[in-house]
Amino acid sequence: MTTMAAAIPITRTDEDLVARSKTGDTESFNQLIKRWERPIFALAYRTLGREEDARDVTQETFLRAFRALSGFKGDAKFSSWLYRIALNLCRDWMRKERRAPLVAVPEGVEMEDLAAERGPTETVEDLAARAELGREVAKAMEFLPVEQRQAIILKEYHGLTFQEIADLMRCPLSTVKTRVYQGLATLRKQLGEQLTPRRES
Amino acid sequence: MTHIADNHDALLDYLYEEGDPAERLQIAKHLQECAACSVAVLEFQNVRGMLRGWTPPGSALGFRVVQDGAFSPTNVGLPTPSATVEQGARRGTWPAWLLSTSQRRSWRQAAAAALLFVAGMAVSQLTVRYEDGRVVLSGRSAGPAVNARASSITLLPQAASDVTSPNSGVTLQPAPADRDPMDTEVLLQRVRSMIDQSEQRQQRELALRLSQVTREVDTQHQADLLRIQQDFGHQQEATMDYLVRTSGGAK
Repeated sequence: MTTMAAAIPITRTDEDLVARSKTGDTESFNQLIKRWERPIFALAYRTLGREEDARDVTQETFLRAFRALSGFKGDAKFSSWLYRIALNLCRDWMRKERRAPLVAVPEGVEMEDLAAERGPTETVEDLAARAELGREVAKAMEFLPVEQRQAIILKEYHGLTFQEIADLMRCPLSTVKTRVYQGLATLRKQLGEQLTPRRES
Repeated sequence: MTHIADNHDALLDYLYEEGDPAERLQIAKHLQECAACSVAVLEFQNVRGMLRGWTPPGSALGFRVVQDGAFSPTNVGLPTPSATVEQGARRGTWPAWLLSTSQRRSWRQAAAAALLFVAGMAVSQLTVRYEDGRVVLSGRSAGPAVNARASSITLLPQAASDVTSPNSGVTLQPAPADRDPMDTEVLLQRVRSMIDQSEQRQQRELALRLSQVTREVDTQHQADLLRIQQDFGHQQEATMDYLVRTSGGAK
């Protein structure tokens, strides 16, 4: 029994890894990075619209988190703390760069990415349609102010509750709901042409 | 119950399955009776369905914290300026220190320069000649492998007493300024002219091939016309014969 238990890899909680990181265990922090880098990158990419910028923001997020780890008291979840750093960095990044989000999705790369995760019944045509749909959504997202954009991203892609988003964005719950509703309404308008055939079908 | 289309909070709670379940049940009942609210909900659900189609690129990340100095429990809590978050070399990605925009730009320029350099070495030809007791590679005959070495190696000449011997010292110099293969502008022009020449040659060949095909089609066309005329003539003769025969028989 002991041998079998030892063979099973131990999955440590975020809290445990944070505690270990605070004692100087860099490897524990690297495990946290491994666990959270993909969601943070996705958040940054959907907010900024640029792969390179998203990568830079992801890197900076973890660097700041590492440096400020001693100040993290554990009142909120580690992931929420990380999200907040990333959200602020994205906002600063957009202000600093003084540019709107741009969707520069290389067609081939996106198709490759989609192909890697395509379902068994999905044809190349389906993949192309999905890539096109993704581009349309990304373009429509450009019309949203950054707060609405981030609220929708956190809700749709990261599965946070409205209250969690409110805590992250440090605003009232009603504000988050307004942002999400207004954002969805704008997207409905922007994606109107694509939505029409769906309704008919 | 008020229309859900006018009650944003209720609409969002229903869409995202948050809030009071009993309230959501009421909304579901209302939607069965109210077409306007059903359409509104359907439209928002469709928007959400489309949002799911937007996936971020599957970039290789693999960041890691790397520290130069020791990190002891005594200095926990202090900023660690020597710490960096680097990106691992998974799937052949670049390390993180290449990732800042300016650095990436520099490396791209360097890579472009290196490519130009290699192209230049391939395009240019060096000659080997003896000059004042030195072997000088500077012209247009040596092979590409020799050229590549020639660009990076310079051996100083030996003493004057060795001048009489052609093998006394070896200097690998770049070609004179007027034929400098390192000059990127010249190289670019050469590459461009080679590409132009290649394109022109291909266009000539294409035009030639097209004219051949056209000639063949014309020839075939003429032959077909001739054969049709002949067939038509034979048919006419046969018809005349037939008419003559039938008219003679009637008499």
